[in-house]
Amino acid sequence: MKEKEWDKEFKKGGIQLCVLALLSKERKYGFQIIKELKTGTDGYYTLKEGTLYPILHRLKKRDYLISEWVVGEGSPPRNYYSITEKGRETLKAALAQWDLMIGGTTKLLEVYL
Amino acid sequence: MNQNSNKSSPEIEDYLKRLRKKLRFMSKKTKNNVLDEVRSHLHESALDLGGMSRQNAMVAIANYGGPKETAKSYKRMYGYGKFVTVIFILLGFLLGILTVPLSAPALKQELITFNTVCLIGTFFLTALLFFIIIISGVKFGRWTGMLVGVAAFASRGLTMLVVTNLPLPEKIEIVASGGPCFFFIIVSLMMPVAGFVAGRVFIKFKKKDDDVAWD
Repeated sequence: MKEKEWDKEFKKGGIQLCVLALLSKERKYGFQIIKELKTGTDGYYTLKEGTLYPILHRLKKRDYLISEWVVGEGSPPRNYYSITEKGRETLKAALAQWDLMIGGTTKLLEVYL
Repeated sequence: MNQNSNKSSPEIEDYLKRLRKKLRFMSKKTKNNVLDEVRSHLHESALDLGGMSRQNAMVAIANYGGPKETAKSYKRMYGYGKFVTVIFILLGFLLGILTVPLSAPALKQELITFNTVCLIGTFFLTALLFFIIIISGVKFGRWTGMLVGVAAFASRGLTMLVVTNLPLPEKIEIVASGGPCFFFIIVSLMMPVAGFVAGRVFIKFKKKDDDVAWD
């Protein structure tokens, strides 16, 4: 597997986890999520901007997120996304899996590398 | 915040126009929701780059991605509007009627060509019907595919039932006995199955997360 393919495989699972984690404290709008994903991960999650929205919509379709339009003064209307109770439960379960994966993989790598 | 923060730019509006075209056949509500969100994002992005200028709008659009790719990922998720689905179901129903094989044995001597054309026509119409059923399964999902197949199955059955009970001219008769009848039923039953299987197979090969692109 090439470097780029490894990268894609790792990112695929991580992106949804990061989005749910980003929204766990406060609601955010799309552009804000993209910027925080980029800065919060030192540029690791730098995605083509338009591709974030289908991820948000997918999470919304699964009832992990809800969204509402807010019209602010002096700024364009923004669609704010918030995490739902179901989303929080999923995040909790995903984090448990994440810990298991990281722990298990690190243990194996330490033995063999 | 920039004074012109609520004003759009011709570049953004042009992009949205192109995206709207690519989103055709999606439900109006979803389409408008997507367009509003893209507009909001492009505004934010251009403002973040320093204000709503032509150049910033162009950079924001370039960072966002092409309308074709954007539309593709939304279509993959939301599918098409109910209107298109209903059109396909109606098409399945209507074509189903036309695929009932009629023959005119009494005219055989005089109009052998007519009969041959009818048979070939029925064959091609049935092939077309299968094609439409499979496409609807692939494009709209297995249940819609099955529904289009059921519509075709129902219309073929109903047409056969009506036509066999109608006082038709003596010269025309329906292929409705023995082997041909059995073949007719089997082909009809295969229609809903084809729609379902096509949708099911497509889902298996569809890579759900491939719509994420990285810089």
